[in-house]
Amino acid sequence: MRMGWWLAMRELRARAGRAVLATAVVATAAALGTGLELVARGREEAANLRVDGVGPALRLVARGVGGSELVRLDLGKQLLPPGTASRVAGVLGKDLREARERLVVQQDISGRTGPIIGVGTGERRGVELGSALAEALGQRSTLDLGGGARPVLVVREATGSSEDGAVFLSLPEAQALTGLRGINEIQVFLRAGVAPQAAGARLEAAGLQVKVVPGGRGAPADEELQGALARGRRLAQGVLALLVGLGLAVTAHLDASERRSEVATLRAVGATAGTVWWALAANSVVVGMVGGAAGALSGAALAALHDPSVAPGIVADWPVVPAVAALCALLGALSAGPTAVAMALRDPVPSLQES
Amino acid sequence: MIEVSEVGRTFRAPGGGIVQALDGVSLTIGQGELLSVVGASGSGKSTLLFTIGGLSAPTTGRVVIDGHSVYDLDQGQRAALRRSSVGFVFQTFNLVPYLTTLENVMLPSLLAGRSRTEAEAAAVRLLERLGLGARLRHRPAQLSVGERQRAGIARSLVNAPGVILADEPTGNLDAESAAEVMRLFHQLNEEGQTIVIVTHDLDLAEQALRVVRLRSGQIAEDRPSLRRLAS
Repeated sequence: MRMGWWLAMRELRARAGRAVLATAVVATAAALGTGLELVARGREEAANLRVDGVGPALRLVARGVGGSELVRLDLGKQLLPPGTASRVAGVLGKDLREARERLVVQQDISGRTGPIIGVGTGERRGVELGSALAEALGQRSTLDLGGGARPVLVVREATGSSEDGAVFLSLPEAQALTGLRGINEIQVFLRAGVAPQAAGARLEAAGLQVKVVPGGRGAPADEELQGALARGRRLAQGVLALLVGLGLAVTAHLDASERRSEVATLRAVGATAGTVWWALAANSVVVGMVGGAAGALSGAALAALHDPSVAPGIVADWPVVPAVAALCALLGALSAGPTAVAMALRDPVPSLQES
Repeated sequence: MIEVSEVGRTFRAPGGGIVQALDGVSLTIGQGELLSVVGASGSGKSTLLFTIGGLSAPTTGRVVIDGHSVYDLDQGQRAALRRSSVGFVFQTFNLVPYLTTLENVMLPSLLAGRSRTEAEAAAVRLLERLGLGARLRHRPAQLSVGERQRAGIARSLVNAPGVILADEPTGNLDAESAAEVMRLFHQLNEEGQTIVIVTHDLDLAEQALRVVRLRSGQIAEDRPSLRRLAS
């Protein structure tokens, strides 16, 4: 293996022009693939936020909750069994994007009864108001809730649902305020392309002690917004991966035709078939890796510059450069592999006699 | 010591027929011999050379080098035997084009698992001895044909093999370079190196000490050379 790499590195150095050309082809495909992936992820992130605003694909509540209580956001003390969220994650696996635990109860809000929603564990140090509630209360910087004034942090955008009339605070704060030590609702957000009905059926079949309620407006929106992005992205990336693989395979094949005599010489001076294989395949692996890394870097930079939805967090969260470089190196090995095997096992004598 | 016993080799011809390249060839090559194999084109000279060198398995018979039956070894063991016991010299030099002269000569040593320092030292020593000390960093394309063949000979010698197998080593050289290569072979042979030269050039063949003539894949003649008889 060491000798194979040694030979491959020298061959790349001596035939730098060809190596640069092959690397540029890989880099172009990798840049396109990376840019597309990051833009898609950025848009997906934005779409997720929109979908989350409209509502979840499914809602899980206690079995005794009725339809009118759901509409009025009056789930009260009908708590879900502890550990339900982790069981949901176990049942849905990769199809689950988020299982959001909430506590939804009616409470006195500045002298009138309305829904308060505890969600998220983050420290808010204040409340967020639904748009309809904010309008009804008029402009104010604090809100009387549970005997104390809390600062109003933000007014949420209108969703057209009864949550527009709610107050939002963190789950621990809501639990402290109501004295309830649990949750009474889980909102289920599914991955792109996962049918909510099928996911609901799986949850029901799993024997969870909950009522599964279709999310209504959230489900079709989720499918429409995310499904289209996922399908288009996978198709384009498949085509680009094919392009990289074919490019490297053709380069390896052309190289091999020119290198028959050289390979025969290596065999004659005592190289094993394995060393010859490494010498040929390592070439494509290096071209794939360098091209992939260069392409991923430039693709990420261009995507971030071109599309505001590609936030730095998206680039950082996803290990784009090593992932694309590793993928291209793997494609290099796979595409050059058959040619390298054939060359390594070929009878060297005819080439030695021809040359 | 090399023993070739009843070696036969057939090929499937492109047209579909069978070609008998070697037919019951038996030959013993002792330590320190300088032997030439002559014959017309297609007589089986090169096939015999590559068969001795472990690159072309015979259809029948066996080849034994230093007590090892070459074709009873697996591929890896045979490659190891080529590295340690055999050095090839080719008509078209067959230097690896992207390696420097020094790297080409180091190659068999590195393949044999020697350290880079050791391999480089051995290669430099040989190249200086063969008058290529100033050409270490040059690529084959930057060398004259005579220099390329000397580099090829240096490569064949670097692992101190038991035998050098040279296939038409002067076939691509001008008269002066050819004479220089033959002088070098004689010098090496006088130091005890076993050398087998395949050639179609009868004058060149007579410069060896023993001449084996092949005809239609069979040994037609095995005798001392005129040079030997004269001495």
